[in-house]
Amino acid sequence: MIASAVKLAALVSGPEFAQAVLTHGAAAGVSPEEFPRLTASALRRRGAILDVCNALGAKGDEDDFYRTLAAIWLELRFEWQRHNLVSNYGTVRHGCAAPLSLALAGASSALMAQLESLLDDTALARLGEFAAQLIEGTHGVLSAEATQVSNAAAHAYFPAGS
Amino acid sequence: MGYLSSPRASGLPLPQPNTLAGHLWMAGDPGVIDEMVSVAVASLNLSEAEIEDLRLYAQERSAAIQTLAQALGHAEDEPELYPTIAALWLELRFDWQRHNEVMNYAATRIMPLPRVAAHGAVGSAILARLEDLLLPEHRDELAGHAIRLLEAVVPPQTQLVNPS
Repeated sequence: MIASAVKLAALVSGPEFAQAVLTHGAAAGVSPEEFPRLTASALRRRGAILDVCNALGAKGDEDDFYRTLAAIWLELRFEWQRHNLVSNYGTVRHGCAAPLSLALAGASSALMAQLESLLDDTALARLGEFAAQLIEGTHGVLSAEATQVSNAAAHAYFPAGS
Repeated sequence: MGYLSSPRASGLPLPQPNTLAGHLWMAGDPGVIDEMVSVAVASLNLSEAEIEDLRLYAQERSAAIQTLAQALGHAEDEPELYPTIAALWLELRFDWQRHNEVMNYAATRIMPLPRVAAHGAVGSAILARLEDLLLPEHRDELAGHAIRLLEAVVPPQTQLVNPS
């Protein structure tokens, strides 16, 4: 197995990640009933990363492995942004954010931190900028005018009551 | 273990049906998504634990979609909701691509992973429900941009060094 796959597998399997998930959950005020979902979700994310280490971690796979790590980081970044957005709207509209959203954002962030130790800063900056622009609606592809058009398209695709 | 915090049970108002948020809510319909799981389970040889994990995965995706629809459910949120759906679509697309990548590598090394295939199949079906909420040209351009960004990522030790 290539060195970076061994290192990543050890990082995500170590106690720091599990401890970070529990700490985020407790700090966010996740209820005892919701804790199993938080830990199941975190374990599934960790399992997905271990699957990648096992499947793409052989000698000769270095480029594909590295790109897949970058793609996982971007996926987690989108997830983290989504949880934050939902939490922010909850705070503004209802005076508080859902604890589970906050804790899931924390779990995404903890995994991102593990991946960042293996990825190049320049690549991360580019990927992070793309993710931020997209969710802020400032990415060139999604102009305000296009958004209006697409809202209309969505209504056409999903007629009321369908 | 079932899903413990259904967006419908959160007590927050549901999105209006004839809005973008309403369509997003329907795209995450847990009943429809659970049927997708049943289809995948019927065609793949999974253990009970793997089936339960697949159901939780699908419920989590359903909740992610409906929680977003509920959070940005006001009419004035639509301009912000659309790019957020685009970001969620890309997030799920990366998830699906990762499952495919793992499955393809596993297949070439003769270690088939029906568990990963099942997640890929359900992920693909959920992705298809979100796709209808985005214009095809937006999907193509965003996916193309993301792919180009990732293709430019190479391990540091194999990056070309400018001899000058």
